[in-house]
Amino acid sequence: MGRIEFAIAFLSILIAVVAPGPSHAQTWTAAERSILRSLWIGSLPQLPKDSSNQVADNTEAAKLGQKLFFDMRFSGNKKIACSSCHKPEKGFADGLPLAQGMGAVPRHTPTIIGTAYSPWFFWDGRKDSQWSQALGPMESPVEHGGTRTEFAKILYSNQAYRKSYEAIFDELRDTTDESRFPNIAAPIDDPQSRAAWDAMKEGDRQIVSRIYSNIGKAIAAYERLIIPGPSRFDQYVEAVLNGDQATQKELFTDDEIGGLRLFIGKGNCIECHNGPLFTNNDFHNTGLTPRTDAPGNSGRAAGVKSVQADEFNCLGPFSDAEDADCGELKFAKLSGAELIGSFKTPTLRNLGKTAPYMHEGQLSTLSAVVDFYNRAPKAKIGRSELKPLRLTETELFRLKRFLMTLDGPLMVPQALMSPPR
Amino acid sequence: MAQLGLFIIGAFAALFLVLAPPPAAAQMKMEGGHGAAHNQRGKPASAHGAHQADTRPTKIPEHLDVARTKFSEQAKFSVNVTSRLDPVTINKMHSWVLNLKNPDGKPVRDAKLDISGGMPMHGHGLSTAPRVTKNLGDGKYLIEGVRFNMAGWWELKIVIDSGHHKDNVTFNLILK
Ligand code: HEC
Ligand code: HEC
Ligand SMILES: [Cu+2]
Repeated sequence: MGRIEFAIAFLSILIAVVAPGPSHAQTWTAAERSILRSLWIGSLPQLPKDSSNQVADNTEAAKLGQKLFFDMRFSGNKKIACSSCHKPEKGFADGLPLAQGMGAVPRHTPTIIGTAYSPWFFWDGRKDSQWSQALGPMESPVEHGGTRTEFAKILYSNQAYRKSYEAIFDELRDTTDESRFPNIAAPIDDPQSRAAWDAMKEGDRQIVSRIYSNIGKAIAAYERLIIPGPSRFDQYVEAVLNGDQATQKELFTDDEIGGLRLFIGKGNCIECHNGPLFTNNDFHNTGLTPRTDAPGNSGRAAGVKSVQADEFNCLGPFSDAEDADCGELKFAKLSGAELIGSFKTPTLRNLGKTAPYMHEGQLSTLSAVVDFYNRAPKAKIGRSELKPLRLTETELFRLKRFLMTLDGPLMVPQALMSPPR
Repeated sequence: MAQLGLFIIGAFAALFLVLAPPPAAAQMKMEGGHGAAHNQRGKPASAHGAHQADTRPTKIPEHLDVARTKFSEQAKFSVNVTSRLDPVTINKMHSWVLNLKNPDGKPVRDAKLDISGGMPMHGHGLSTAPRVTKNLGDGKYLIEGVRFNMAGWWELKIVIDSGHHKDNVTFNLILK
C-alpha cells in the first residue's frame, strides 16, 4: 500500500467514524424513494371492480361465501373445504410442497391473499376471475372431488343455504328430481359424471351450471376481502417517505436495508415482483426444474388456451360482464416462446407463513430461493428469463433478511378468519 | 491550525469520494427505470456458462429517441401515437390512438396495422396482444389491449400497410 492510499484509507476511516448524521445506508435518492413508494402497501388501490360478478361487493354474498369456503360438505368425501388447503392460520396456504385433497395434487397451494387484484388465477392462469377459479377445485377429483349437481342438491336441501341463496340471487331451482338431475353429474374427465351430464337436457344443465356459477360468485365475494395489511417493510417505507431517520433505524437493520437495495437494484427482483403486492400478476419462466413431466408443465402456454375455452370465462354465458370489461381475456397473449414453462409471479407478502415455495413447492426455504436466483439454472422447459446474479454470501443473506420483513397481519376482520357462526 | 487540519481531511475526503464512489450511489442511477440495475446482466454470454449467446443490449442507449411522432423507417408515413393512459404506468390495461399521415400530412385511412414489441434488454415480447379495434376515421386508429408488466425500456413496433405502401415504425418508452 502506497503512502497516499494509506493516508486515504486512514482518513476515510476517520471520516466514517466521526462523520455526524445518518449512516450512508439510510439514505435513498428521490428515484429510489419513488420505487419504495410503489411497493408500499399505501399504494394498494381500492379493490378493483369485478364486472363479471354482480354480487362481488354484496355483503350477504360474502357471508354465504365464507360459509361455503369452510364447509366440508361440498366435497366427495365430506372432508374437504377450500380452507383445508387455504388455511387462515397458514397465510391461506397449507405449508405443504404439493397440495393434498381427495388425492395428490401436482401443484403447490398458493395463498389467496390479495388475489382480488389479479386478472389471472392458478399458476398457469387458466382462470380469469375469482369466481370461476373457485369452480376448479370443487370438481377436481384430487381436490374437493364433487360435481355441480351434487352441490346444487346440497344447497337446496339445506334451509339456511337456500334462504341466503334466494336473498342474494333468485329462486333456487329444485334439483331433487333424480330422473332429471342425477346425483353425480358434471362435464369433467370422470367418465361416469360425464355420461350422466351428457344425458341431461340442455335446459337442466343450464339450471345446474347457473347455480354452480353462483356458488363461485359467493365464494369470490368473501375471498375478495382477504387482503394484506402493513408489514414492517411498509412501516419502514412510511418512515423513509416522512424523512423520519430515527424510526427508520428502529425498524430496519443494515442487513435488511442492504437486502432491499439488492431487491430493487442488482437482484432485478423488482422486474417481476413489482407494485404493492410484489407481483405483476403475469407469467414468467424462471427455469425451475419440474418434479414430473406432467403436461401442465408448459405453464401459461396451456393455461391461456384453457381459459379461452372455459364456459365460465369473462365472455361466457355465466359472466355478468359486458364485452368491454373483458380486456384481459380479449387481448391475452396466445402464443410466443415466453409462454412456455411460464408461471404466475406470486406475491411476496407473508412469505414467512407460506413456505415451501414455487409452483411445485420445489424450494423449501428462502435461503434456497435466493440461492436459486443467484444460480439461475438453464430451464428444462422453455427458456429462463433469469440470468445468474453472482451475489456474494453476504448479499444473499441480506436479500433473505429483507424478504422476511414482508410479513404482516391481514387487513381482515377476525370474524372472516374462521367459519361464520 | 485546526482549520488547516479540517481542510486536509476535507481534501482527502473529496479525493476519496472521487476515487471510490460508494456502492449505493453508483448502483442507482435510475434515469431509465431499472436500466442501471441491468448493467450487471449483460456480461458476455460465456460468463454465464449455461446460457446461450446473448446479443441483447445491456443498457438503454444514451440518446434514445422517445418521440411519439416520427416518420416510419422508409419515411412512407408520419405516425403519432398517444396513450389514453397518461402517464403510462405498468400493470394497467389501456389503449392508444395512432394517427397516420402520409409525408405531406394527409390522413391515411383504412390502413392495416400490426402491433408487436417488447423489452430489448430482456429479450421478451409484449405481455399482451394489442390490436386495432376501431378505425376512428381521418387516419386515426384505436389500439386496445396494451399492458406493460415491468419498468424499463419498451419498444412498440407497428407494421403499417396502407395498400399502397408498407413500412414500419418503432416507438420507445421508458416506464418507471
Ligand atoms: C386440495 C387442496 C385445495 C383445495 C381444497 C382448494 N385449493 Fe385453491 N389451490 C390449491 C392449489 C394446489 C392451487 C394451485 C393449482 C394450480 O395452479 O394448478 C390453488 C389455487 C387457488 C387460487 C389461485 C391463486 C392464484 O394466485 O392464482 C385460488 C384463488 C384458490 N385456490 C382458491 C380456492 C377456493 C375458493 C377453494 C374452494 C372452492 C379452493 N381453492 C380449494 C389447493 C387447493
Ligand atoms: C422474471 C421474473 C422474476 C424475477 C426477475 C424474479 N422473480 Fe421471483 N418469482 C417469479 C415467478 C414467475 C415465480 C414463480 C415461479 C414458479 O413457481 O414457477 C417467482 C417466485 C418467487 C418466490 C416464491 C414465492 C412463493 O410464494 O412461492 C420468491 C420468494 C421469489 N420469487 C423471490 C424473488 C427474488 C428475491 C428475486 C430477485 C433475486 C426474484 N424473485 C426475481 C418471477 C420473478
Ligand atoms: Cu422485461
